Amino acid sequence: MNILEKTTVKIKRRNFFYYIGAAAVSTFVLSKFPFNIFKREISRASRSSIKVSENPYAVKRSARVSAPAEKGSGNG
Amino acid sequence: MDNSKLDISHMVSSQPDGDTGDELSSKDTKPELKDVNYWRSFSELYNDPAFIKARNNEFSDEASKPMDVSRMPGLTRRRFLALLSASAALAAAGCSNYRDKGLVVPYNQKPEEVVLGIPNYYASTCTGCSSACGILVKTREGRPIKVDGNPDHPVNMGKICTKGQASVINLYDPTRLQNPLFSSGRNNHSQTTWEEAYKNIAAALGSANSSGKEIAVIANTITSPTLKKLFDDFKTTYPTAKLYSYELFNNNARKSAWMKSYNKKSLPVLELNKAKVILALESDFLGNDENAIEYTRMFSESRNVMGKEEFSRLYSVEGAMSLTGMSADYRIRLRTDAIEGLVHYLLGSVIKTGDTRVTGSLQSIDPKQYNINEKVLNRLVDDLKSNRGKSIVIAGDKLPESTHIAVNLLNETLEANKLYSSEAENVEAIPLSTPEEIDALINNMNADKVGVVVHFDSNPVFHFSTDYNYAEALKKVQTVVSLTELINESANISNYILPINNQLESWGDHKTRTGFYSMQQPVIAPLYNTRQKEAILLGLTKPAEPYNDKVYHDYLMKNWETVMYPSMGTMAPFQKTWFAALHDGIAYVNEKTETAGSSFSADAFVSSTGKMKPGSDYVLLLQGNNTVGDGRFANNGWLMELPNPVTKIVWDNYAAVSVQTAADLGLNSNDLIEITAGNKKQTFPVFVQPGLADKVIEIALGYGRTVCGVVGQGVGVNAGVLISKNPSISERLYNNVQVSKSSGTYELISTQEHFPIDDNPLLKDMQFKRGVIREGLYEEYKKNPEFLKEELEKEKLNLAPINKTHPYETPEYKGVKWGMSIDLNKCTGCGSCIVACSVENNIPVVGKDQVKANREMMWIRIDRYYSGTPDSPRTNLQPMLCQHCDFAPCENVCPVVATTHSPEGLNIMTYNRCVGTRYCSNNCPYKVRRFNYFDFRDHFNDSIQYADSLSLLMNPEVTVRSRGVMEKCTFCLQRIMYERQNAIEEKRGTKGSNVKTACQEACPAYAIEFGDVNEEGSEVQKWRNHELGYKVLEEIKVQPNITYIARLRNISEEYNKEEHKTEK
Repeated sequence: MNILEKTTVKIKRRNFFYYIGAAAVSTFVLSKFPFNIFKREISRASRSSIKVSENPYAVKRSARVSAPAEKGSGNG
Repeated sequence: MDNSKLDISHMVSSQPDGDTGDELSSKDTKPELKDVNYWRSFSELYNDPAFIKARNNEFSDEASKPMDVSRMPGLTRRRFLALLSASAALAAAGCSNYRDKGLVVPYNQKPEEVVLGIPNYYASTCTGCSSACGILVKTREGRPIKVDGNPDHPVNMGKICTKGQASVINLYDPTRLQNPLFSSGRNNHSQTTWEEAYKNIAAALGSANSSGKEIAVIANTITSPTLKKLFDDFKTTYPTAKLYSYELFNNNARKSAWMKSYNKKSLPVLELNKAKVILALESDFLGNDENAIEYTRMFSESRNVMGKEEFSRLYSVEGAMSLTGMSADYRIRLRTDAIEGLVHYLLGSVIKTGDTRVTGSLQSIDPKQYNINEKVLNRLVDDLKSNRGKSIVIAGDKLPESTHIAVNLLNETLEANKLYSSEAENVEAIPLSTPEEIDALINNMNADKVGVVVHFDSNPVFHFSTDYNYAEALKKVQTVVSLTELINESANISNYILPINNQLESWGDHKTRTGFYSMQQPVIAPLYNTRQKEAILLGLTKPAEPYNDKVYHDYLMKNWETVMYPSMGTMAPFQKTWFAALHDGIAYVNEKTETAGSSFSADAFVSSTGKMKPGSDYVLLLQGNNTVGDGRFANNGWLMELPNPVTKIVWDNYAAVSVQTAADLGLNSNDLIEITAGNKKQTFPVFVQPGLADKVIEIALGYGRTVCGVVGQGVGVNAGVLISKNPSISERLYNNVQVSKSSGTYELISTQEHFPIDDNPLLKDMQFKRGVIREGLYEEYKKNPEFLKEELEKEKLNLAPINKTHPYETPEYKGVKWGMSIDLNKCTGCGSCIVACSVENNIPVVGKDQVKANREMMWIRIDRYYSGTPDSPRTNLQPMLCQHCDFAPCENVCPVVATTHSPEGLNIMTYNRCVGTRYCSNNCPYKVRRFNYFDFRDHFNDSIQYADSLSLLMNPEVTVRSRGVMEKCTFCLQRIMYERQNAIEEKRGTKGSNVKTACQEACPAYAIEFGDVNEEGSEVQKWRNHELGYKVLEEIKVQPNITYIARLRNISEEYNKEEHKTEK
């Protein structure tokens, strides 16, 4: 039996390229689709531009516990 | 588990109260602890089929609904390929840009204080309640990611409560107000500018002032001396201004009783660590009452099995079931309104002065009438008498002034003043307003004598008694201004809503005790268009001056330079002193305590007696909580999802009733009841709580917010509506309350029965002998410290699995081997470790519906086991987390090798290998693995956890897990790596004692030790080798690496197993 006889409907060469093209376009569109519009909270929150900066007048320490020399150094 | 289907009528027993640890018998000379029947819930105690089914099934029905293959449609080859292609295309498209992660770019100009990958720490002060605990904020690349206690703070010494731990999420709350709002009609507020708001508010203040109308500033407790000065300046500008301060959870009764007893304002600081006998009267000093962090540390110091010090003995008399009651050696159930009578009984028993004025005024209760165990009571009296100078009585904040005065006299009689610190006293910057002052304010508002009301970060609409009808009175005020971080009930009906800085964006100084100031500094510049509340007040004081970000910083600094600095007596220049104070978070000053020597006023006692008389109807207790506080933490998801330490209920409050009360009223858990206190009514869901006194109803305040962020709005029921402005006993304690059953039910979700350690069917006869909980008596331990080891050794003979050779070769850990020890004598079950773990390890909030389906994600749970009768159970608590077993059964069932063992003994997860088979969880005997059934950040509450601001909260050292991945405790691997990195830099070996896990760092009771078990002399090694150390489920030979120190009860007699055991 010819292998082509197994297929009842043969796809046309032109249609094949249409489908390939459509698939490529769909993939491109989907990849650029802004899914975030479905996320109300995210879109609401992302409107605010948050900038992080440390307060220049605060005094940091590099470890959890003060070094002995530093501890209470302001108390005379 | 559906508790509502349980018939509780047979649970009621007639066992006398006060029997905790008092099943006295001389028949048994040795405690048979393994025969004690431990149970976690009624379902387990009475073998509810639903519980047994759930216990035997690893995953709940919700979690593992089977797929019916036969019902699937047929699939042709062509269709299969088409679907495959479509799936591939969709996957390629969908995964390519599902979420905009943003660009990762290096600093163009790196801030001097930031070193990438290295955390910075800032000392500051928590303003979540009136305690003003010192905090240490960890920042990464400028973002605060963790809040812990400041180790240099003399009160909380490096520890903070659950609310403090979770407070960091408030900074990034996406529902924070970001701009000033205005509405002339007090609805539909619209955005305005700061300049416009200042101009108009200043005009309103000026107008009120010139017309002689009052300007009312309503605040919570003020602990800042500089803020006090600012109010004085404000009043200078606007002479009609008046400050009102209130606190829902206050200690007014204690303070006024102290004043009447000793004519002194300052309350003493207690040194509980030196007490040998502690009697707590409706006091949850280890839980939700004031100063719990310090008291927990002190109490744990007095329960130290590592040293040879004597154990303290804790008696708890309470109507509720509290953390303190659960930790008590002897617990006496007593309806709260009878406690004053018990104090009089104790006074009559221990008093030696012979003052007939006092003894003649005693109005003792008859202990038999209240079914109090006589032996326990006698022992209490003996202990108090024989430990004068070493015993102390603590009355809870809910009790009225008259009880506190009686307790002051009892403490005087017991010479408890020897346990008052001579170095420090509690102080307050501004006393709270009296009910009369609040009443006068409302009257003035109603009489149109108040021109402007400023809610200074307060929410009186939610907090004030409905008797005041405050919201209605507010309508008669011309201008209402609310300064707040989040929208709330008061702000919602204001003209101006001014968004304020979070505590981590604010400056301040706080003083709660003599001897030091606690400094507050901002660790991050304001995220939004907000201003510090003090700066707003300052701006309104000087409306003509232009605003800048450091206006309050300059004001604070100037006040310190002119007022505090000269009194410090330091030789260092001011700048150095200032920076040192900010660095340490503490500034010490030389101060003396209030002059001592005043004696107790017998007149105060005589005139106050008989004010709290026990009733015969129901008692209502309005409680604090470790979750939402007074409601200000209601929008904090971590706290909402934190199981209540006693009931393990999440996302709700409820009316807890005793078993007998439930039987009397025909109630089951989840039924609804209507509570009527005076002329006020409210309906609550019921939870049947073992251990409550009969006819006592316990409800947590702070829930039922109607206006707040999306997380907390509408969660729970507002019990505050039951508060009376003129209570017959106290604001949080009512008797002669009416209770009736309402129609309908409401489902409460408790995590107590989730992830139960199962009864191995191969070891059926061992189900009560598995030794998950081991406990003993202090006296027994003193006589024979090895008693637990001997017991374990004896058990080994009976437990076949222990005697079999292990099939695997035992690995040798010659280098670093990580291990943990947990002392069950110290753990109070407060939940700080759970929250700290969640913050450190980026654990998501899943929501009530998912907790219901056993899907909570917390890596630690605190198992609570009851033993004894439901009426008066004894409680054991056990933090349960991944045990990092040497022969971890989870590892050898993972088909993709996602969970493996490290050479240092850690059981580690490789998230990107995990395919979510859940075999590991199925095979884990401790049930400590958590599976991401969803991307919970996406799934919960409309993806709020994916808001931009909340992504700043994440700890960059810990992977954010997503759907389909199994996770569990890592022993804070990131902290181990940090130590390893430091060790390499410093060219030394890894030192285990340098690593502190998040739970260990947070534990206020110092119950957790972690480190290298091979490090000679390390604490963890000492604990691991302690004679009371044991491993959970040791017989299954997985060799866990967490050692539990068995709990000792300091009771005089031994257990009577026959009385103690409850028949199943």
